[in-house]
Amino acid sequence: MEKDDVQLITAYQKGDARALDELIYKYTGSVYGFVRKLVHVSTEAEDITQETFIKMWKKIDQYDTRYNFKTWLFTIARNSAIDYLRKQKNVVFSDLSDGESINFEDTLFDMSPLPDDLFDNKRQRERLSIAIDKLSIQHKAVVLLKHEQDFTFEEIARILHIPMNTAKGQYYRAIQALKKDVNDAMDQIM
Amino acid sequence: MNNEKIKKIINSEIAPPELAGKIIARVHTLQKRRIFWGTIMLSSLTVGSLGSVIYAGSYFVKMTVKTGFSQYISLLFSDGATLMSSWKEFLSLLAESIPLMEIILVLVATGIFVWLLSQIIEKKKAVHYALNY
Repeated sequence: MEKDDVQLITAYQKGDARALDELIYKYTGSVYGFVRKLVHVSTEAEDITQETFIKMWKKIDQYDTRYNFKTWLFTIARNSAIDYLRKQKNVVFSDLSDGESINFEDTLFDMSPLPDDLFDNKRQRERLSIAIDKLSIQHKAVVLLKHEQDFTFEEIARILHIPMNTAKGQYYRAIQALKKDVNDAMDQIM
Repeated sequence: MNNEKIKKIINSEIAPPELAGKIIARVHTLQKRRIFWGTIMLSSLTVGSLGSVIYAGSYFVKMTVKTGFSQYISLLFSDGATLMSSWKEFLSLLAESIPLMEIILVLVATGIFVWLLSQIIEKKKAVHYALNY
């Protein structure tokens, strides 16, 4: 029977080294995918993924099993990716935080993502994929964590060290930016 | 589902097939390194601790002679009957001559040594893994 994350960590803490190997096999793909989208360079994404798991191993004795392991792991991954980007000087501080104040009303807006007809047209789908890549680091992280990794807003907020309403606000703004980008591109074509 | 459509468009990056293996190998190397140096340090501390026990023990013996405690104890076994008549004075002399600090030193040194030894025995499994994995 497949063990869940808490069982694997507990087994590792009791001396079962193979439990950690299982965890690494389980999450390497998703961590790499997330990091690769943020840093764009495959070789660097590999290094950052390795670094993420090394940091995870070093801190595993401090890990509190009451909290979701995947959330904790992605927090480390996100921080490692941001550290890399800062060293490359590819990112300014404002790119990592949402400097705009969040109106509460924004968070009440329709949270369902883009109109269905956006997905019907191949060109629009391609345009949407490019638009996601063009998002700011923070907005891209929110969209990736929400749609690629299926985290809840509460978990996203924990990973990005922001309040939950801020996470929702950033997601909302990311979706608005995507809609605008795709619509502008389609208008140009027409 | 709209969310599923977005998921497909994101075009998840596929990790290189050997990446997980590389990470595991690196973690194993670091684990072995940690166990190796941990064992070296623990063994050194245990040997040092044993030296402390021997030193504390020999110092304790020296002090029992110096204070007369060992003579009083040997008197207890050689001429116990005579001592019974003046047992209060004898007990008082015994209490005054006890090398208390030295006894505490021996007990502490022995306690540390025993604890370190138990840590080595506990780590034996980890050392076995490091040598054979």
